[in-house]
Amino acid sequence: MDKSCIAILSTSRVRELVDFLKIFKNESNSDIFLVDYNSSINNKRIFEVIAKTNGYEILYHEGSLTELKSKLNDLGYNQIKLLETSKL
Amino acid sequence: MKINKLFLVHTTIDVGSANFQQQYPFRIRDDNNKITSYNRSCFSPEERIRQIISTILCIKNTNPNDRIVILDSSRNAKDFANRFNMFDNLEFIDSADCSEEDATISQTAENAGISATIQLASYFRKFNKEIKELYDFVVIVTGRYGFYNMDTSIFSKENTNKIIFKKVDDGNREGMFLQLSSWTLNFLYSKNDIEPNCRNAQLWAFGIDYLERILDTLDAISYLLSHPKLKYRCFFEEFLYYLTLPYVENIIEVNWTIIGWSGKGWGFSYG
Repeated sequence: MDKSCIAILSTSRVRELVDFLKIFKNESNSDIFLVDYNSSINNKRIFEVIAKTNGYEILYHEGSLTELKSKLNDLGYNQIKLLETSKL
Repeated sequence: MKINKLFLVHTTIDVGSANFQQQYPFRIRDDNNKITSYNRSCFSPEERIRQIISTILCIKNTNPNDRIVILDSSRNAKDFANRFNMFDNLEFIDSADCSEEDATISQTAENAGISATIQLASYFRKFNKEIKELYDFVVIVTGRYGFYNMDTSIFSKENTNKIIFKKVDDGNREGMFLQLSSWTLNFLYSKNDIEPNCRNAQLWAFGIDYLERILDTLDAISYLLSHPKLKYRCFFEEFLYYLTLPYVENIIEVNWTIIGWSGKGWGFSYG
């Protein structure tokens, strides 16, 4: 059975992250991960409160996109959509 | 060695009455005592100008050689610029000159915390390079407040990597704590590992090394205060506390005394 998720990659500053989240809509009912990608957010607490407020799962990832996909596969997801906040 | 400080006085002199909802407490009535709109301030523009002049005099009294910027997000901000001409080393900036989009949000936000954080972030983004080049510290004061007995020795080269807050005394601490709803506490905090608290947002400062982190914090707070889940439930002050906790080793609390007018129109106060 397919299990899908959307991983929102925070790849820049807080401003870009919140601008992205203001217009983001989850229309597929997928699970959502907010990913601090290669420590782009220098204040983890900011990242966590924003994720918690939106009801998203938190993931910290250092490494490549391939490794991130592999990590999500290991969590049981076989359909993964990656979105980057800096490419709004 | 000379320490250069920027005193940033942020305000909305003319709040107007645009689209404020009934959640806001200040009712604007017509001559027949009928409520015509709601406002987030109980002060008229003229009263606010007088309050800001008091703020400027406090700054001049304790820090006569430092630069003052008045940042105003009124729709008609430019109308007020010449009211402060008598002061030297002072610049009046219309928030719309930093970002028209941000200024519009700031003007119409029902929550004054949203207005303040967007206004400040917008200014720090626009003048980022200049601030870093010219100043060692930024001191932020809201236009309704002044201060005396400011210990300026805290502004030293060694402290440019510090954030400085006015110490909240135990009485105010308890008062601020009581403002927090149990819902907010349950939502944001793990009760066992944090003591809920607030920072004083009327007067605070940071060393220039912290500019970018403060900018991120302001962006986060304006977003969180606007979020449908948190709207009307949280305060600028509690987020300022919670989101600056990771920097706690670089935070200094000082015994500055603030004087000013209560935002709820309860008169003049100090503390």
